[in-house]
Amino acid sequence: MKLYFKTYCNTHNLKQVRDFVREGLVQNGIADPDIYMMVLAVDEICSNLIIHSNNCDDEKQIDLVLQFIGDKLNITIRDYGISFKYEDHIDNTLEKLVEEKRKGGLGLLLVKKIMDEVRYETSSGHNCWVLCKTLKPVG
Amino acid sequence: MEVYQSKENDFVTLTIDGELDASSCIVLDESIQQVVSENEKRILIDCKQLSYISSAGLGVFMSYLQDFSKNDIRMVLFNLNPQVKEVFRILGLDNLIKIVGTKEDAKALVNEVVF
Repeated sequence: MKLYFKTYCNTHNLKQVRDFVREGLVQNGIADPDIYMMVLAVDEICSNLIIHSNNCDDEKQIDLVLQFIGDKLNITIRDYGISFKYEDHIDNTLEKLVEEKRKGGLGLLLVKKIMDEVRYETSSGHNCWVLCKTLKPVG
Repeated sequence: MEVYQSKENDFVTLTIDGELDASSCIVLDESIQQVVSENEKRILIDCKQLSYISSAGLGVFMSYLQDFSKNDIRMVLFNLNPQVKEVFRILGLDNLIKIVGTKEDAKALVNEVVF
């Protein structure tokens, strides 16, 4: 099963993104604590794309797909803004962020802790995040 | 998301109501800046009505840690729901930020000789 959602690059749209992911996971029988964390992971990626890749330009689009394959969930988040320098953030640690008094940088740490697999791909004209998780059904 | 401020004796309480995300975190940041500019040294954060937090909200708390430590400003969070608390825990922020169960615990902690 695939569920699709389209939004635009305004942080006020994050609540709609969270509602879409939450409803999709509830419909597919996912347990509550996992729902909260996966909603958070998607929120983190979309927040970064809206703010950093697309400079909060609400004419710019983000496409989100939830794909359920057996007990696996693949979440694909695609945008058409500035590419993210994944290598600049891969070695971030909590200590480093505290030291530098940075308000940002925690999001990717969270996503990597929540999801089983995080991939980032960029090619001409678009960037794509793929988040994967093996799901635990309710009960 | 709203932040309400109340003052009691020698401490101030900020009550967060709603979802704290990249859109709303500026409201919390401004509220903390406001109480710091009023020379408050004991800040309690009531999270009972905080239903959701993303890293943008965590980042606001984290960005004050060093300055608060240097200036002996004490901040304690209390009344977190289990899922919000888990977000702090999985990053290890519960080791850096003071988090307790109740307001009474929070009041006791900010008044301890060694914080």
